[in-house]
Amino acid sequence: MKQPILQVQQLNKSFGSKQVLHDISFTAQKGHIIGLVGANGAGKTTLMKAILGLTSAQGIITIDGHPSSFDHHEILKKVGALIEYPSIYPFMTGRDHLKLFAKGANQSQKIQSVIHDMHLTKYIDRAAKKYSLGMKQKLGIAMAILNNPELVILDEPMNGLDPQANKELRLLIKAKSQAGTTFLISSHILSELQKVADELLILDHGRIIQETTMKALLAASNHYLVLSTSDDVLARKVLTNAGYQLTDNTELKVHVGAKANLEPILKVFEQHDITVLDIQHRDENLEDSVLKLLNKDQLEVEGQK
Amino acid sequence: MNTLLWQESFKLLKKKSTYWVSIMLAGIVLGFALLSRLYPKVFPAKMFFTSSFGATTWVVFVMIAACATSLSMEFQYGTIKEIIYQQYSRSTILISKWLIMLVYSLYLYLMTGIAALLGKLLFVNSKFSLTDIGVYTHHQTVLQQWFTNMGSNFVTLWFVLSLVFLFATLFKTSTTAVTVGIVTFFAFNVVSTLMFQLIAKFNWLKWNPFNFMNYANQVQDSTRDALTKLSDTQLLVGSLSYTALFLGIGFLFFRRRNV
Ligand SMILES: Nc1ncnc2c1ncn2[C@@H]1O[C@H](COP(=O)(O)OP(=O)(O)OP(=O)(O)O)[C@@H](O)[C@H]1O
Ligand SMILES: [Mg+2]
Repeated sequence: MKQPILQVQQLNKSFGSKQVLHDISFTAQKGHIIGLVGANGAGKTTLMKAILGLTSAQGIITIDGHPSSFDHHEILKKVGALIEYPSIYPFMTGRDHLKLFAKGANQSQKIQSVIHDMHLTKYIDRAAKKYSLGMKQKLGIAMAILNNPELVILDEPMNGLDPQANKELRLLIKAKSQAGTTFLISSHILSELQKVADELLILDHGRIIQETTMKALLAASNHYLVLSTSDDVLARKVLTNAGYQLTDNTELKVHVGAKANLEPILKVFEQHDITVLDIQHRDENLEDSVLKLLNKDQLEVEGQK
Repeated sequence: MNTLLWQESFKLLKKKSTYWVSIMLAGIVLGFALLSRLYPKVFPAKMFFTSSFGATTWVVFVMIAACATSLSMEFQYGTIKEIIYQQYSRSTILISKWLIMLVYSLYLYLMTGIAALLGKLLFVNSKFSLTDIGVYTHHQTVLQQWFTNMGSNFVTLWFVLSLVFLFATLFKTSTTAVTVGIVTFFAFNVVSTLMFQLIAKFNWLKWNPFNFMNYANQVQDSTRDALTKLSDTQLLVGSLSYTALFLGIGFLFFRRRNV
């Protein structure tokens, strides 16, 4: 297996007597996009801060094979990040920020291309104190990807972005990951995350309760057919008799496997002279799956008490 | 380290205040030079010149604000995160800030010094000559006294700034650090009478840090050693030691700072 870009082992973090990260371990392979989800206060930001050496924590963090810690983190030169809210000096222009943090060779070219990629041209030469929330956010993301880092850590990057900017960001992340950049992205907007992430870390009360690929999680989720017929009352009866699970009382919502087979359903209807007017697929999305997992975890935690 | 030094100077030069502070200081120096031409009784030119027409005091104000904000603005704007997750250690980050502030303070001394010379040439050139014998000291020329004053004031300035840096690392807001700096520098003159009485009673109290703020005063007025109970050299070495101590404590705190 290739060397992972990021490896976190047995990470623990406490604020005073309150432990907020419990034995966090995971690895991130090059070019992957990893989504980090969890409720408010689950520890997402704290985990990211620990990886970046911003806050002290016990455990081992390895970036591209090199250990990184609170005191010694030279290897962070391969990392770019946006944590919580963009870091902006009000007295400087957007371009000044990029100049300030650009490093290595071809600085002006890096600045040019990030301005282009993030669509900042219109206001990049204006004082940052005059920026709107979304403009600041975009500048913050631009600063995170400016030096073409191998690992990019973004804490709620979609915060304040309009739909257009959201889509552009998604495409940019996809393109960069195809070129080998790894992303660790936390977000509460699960519909957006579903579109971009290929792996998921689900964090609850400072523990990883699920580490999975997006594909596997969605495949394991529930699938339904929603039917509309000439006689819904009769249809409900015959389907129940035929052994189908109907989950909803107001509409004909039939629980089916990942590959739904329509034929037996239609056959039953034919026998009872029921005409099908409409069929819809309704699959659980990331939001449903995550909420279910978090609820289950909550119940288990309460059960232990 | 070079990158950090470059970043610090970039930020300083991007602040508009850096420029208008320079202009204002130069204006004040020239203004006081003019006043000492108009009201020689109130502002005796020869004596006034040796403190760059009062600029050394104004520079203390400016430097207290500059040092306090150079550190606390990073916490206020959240930019400290951006700075720390670069490849550099917290130690080099803080040292870079010290060095840039050192250079800035040297620049302000140089700039106000040049303005003072200009003020002398323009307004009070006929009143005294740089080679005259100084006012207090009978062995130094005005020029020598001017240099001695600047040197000793610079030592006291950095004594105060070390406290400002210490409080800026302890508290996230610049207000605390600025207040501590200003109170230390100005309230000192008020409480020093009391301090001298205590020192006369308890000899060991002469080692308390505030006594060392007398260094600049004692260099200008050698009779002070009766009050401070310390020699000029002891005051100098003590000031520098306390400065190093305060900077060192701030350094230890900053190295462990979570953000
Ligand atoms: N500086 C701090 N001092 C004390 N406790 C803290 C501190 N920062 C965070 N915490 C606690 O750590 C826990 C995790 O916080 P964290 O900011 O990592 O959550 P999060 O998952 O990022 O939440 P959100 O979705 O709201 O951003 C919370 O319970 C919070 O109260
Ligand atoms: Mg957070």
